[in-house]
Amino acid sequence: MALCYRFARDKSEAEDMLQEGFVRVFDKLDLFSGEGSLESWMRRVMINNALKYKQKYVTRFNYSEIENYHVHDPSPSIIDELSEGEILDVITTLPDGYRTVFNLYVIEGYSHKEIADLLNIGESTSRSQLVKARTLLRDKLTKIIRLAG
Amino acid sequence: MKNFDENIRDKVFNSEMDVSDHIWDYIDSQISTKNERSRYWLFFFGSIILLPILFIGTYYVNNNNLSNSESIVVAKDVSQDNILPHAEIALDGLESLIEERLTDDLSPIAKSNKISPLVSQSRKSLNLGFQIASFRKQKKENNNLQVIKNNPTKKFNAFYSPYIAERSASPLDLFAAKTQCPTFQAQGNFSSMYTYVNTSGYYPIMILSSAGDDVGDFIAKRKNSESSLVSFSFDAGLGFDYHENWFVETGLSYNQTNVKFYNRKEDVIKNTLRIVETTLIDNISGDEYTQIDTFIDQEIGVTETASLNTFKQIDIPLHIGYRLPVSRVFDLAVSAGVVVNLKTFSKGYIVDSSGVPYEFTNQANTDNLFKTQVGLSYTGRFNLETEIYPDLYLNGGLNLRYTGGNFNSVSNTVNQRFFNVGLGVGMRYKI
Repeated sequence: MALCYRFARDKSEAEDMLQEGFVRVFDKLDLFSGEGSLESWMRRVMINNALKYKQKYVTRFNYSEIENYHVHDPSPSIIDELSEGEILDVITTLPDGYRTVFNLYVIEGYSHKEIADLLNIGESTSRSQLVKARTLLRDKLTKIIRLAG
Repeated sequence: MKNFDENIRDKVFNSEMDVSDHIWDYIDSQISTKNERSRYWLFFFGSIILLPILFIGTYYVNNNNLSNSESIVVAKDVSQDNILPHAEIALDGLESLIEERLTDDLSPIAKSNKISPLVSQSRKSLNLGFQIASFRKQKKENNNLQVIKNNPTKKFNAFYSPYIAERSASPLDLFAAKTQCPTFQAQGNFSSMYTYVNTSGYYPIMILSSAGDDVGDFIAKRKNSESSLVSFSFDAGLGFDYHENWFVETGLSYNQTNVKFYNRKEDVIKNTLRIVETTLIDNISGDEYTQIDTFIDQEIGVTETASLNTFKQIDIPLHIGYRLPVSRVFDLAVSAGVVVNLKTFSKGYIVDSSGVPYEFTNQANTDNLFKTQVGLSYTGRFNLETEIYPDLYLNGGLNLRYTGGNFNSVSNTVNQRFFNVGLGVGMRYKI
């Protein structure tokens, strides 16, 4: 559920993804070759389903190209101060495109090439969106810490 | 940067969340439905495979029976002793008539039947023999029947029904040019029945108009964000040849109209305040001034919303048409009719009056922008048709459809209709 939530805009969309994803998992279970763990196979199916869900039911984000984007090295302590639920909630507030690339690259460990193939975008676009996603996420996390502090 | 990524990943990679209880019930039902569906698909594809085999088998069985010359002999034997004088004449002349028919130009019905002449005539001749006997029996039992005419002409119908009788009027008389002996009537008017399947790819022209209010701007926004895509329909049913070249068809059809929705919207997703402090020195007086300029740097995000809007319709079509022979090989089938909509399923996105994308579906209670029943549509078809196998016809041509009723509900201020122009192909098989 948390995996779907990271790709979704809200909890109800995450539940829809989860439903469709599980149905797809059961539907395709006979295709599981046994290579690798079942968990990572299911994870891939769920991610693919989440991406298909976004394509099917809509919203896609593109971004204006803003060059010379300066990214400050964020303090790890910011993240330590927040719970996983809070971080998930903040990730969910990222724009769709940022969130998708960030999830795939940072959390799921996909390469930019894989992301580019999956989302049908260029590798450079994937990179620039990741940079922007990081910055926006860091700003949001910092703001939360400040408000709490 | 690695630290940031790794910290985030460590935090959320294996995180868990509770889900609503009903999710599992839904998944369970979906999995069950999937299994059911696979059975339906098995049945569907099984039918597709079995039906042609059935048709071909039926054809061969009929073909073998009909081409057996003993059938005609049997007909003679049955009717030899107790046949009416007129019938005897008909039977005596049967073989010569068959030969004559084989060499004569065939009537339009014979042409449209395009059955091997020998097979066709043999079948009808056998039919004649039995019907004569049957007619005699009826004459004995029913005084309303009376032989008034024996008219073997070169017309195909007349050849099959030389006996025309008078009887009490019935509703079937509406379809009969003359009141005939009931056993001949079906052949004389509805000469054959067939099954048909058609599929069509078409381009839907969306017609948007105001539903009363002045919503010109709204319509313009919708036109900018919606564009037609290639759509398709599929229908199958039964047809009846009526009189010579007329036909009527009815069945069930599925029609899916596709519309592409695309909306681009720019939003400010981040404002950065930049303050520039500049120190100025007056060279003459040596005074220092501080000038402060403030700038707001905006990061603009573009939201693109894209969707495939679908309007799926399940309908009952009713067509009437005429087949016009245009060459030895082709007939031009022109038909027109009405389509009664049983159910319409709409889903997709449109912009609202302020230009913001808005999801709609007529299956949810959240909004009712579009109807679940659209009403009547009107269709026209211009198909060229040719026989590719005995009793099996292939056709294709121009298909038109205009949706008479609006897709939108009363609460939707923009009337939406479609005019579909497409190309279709189909087959029909006489049974």
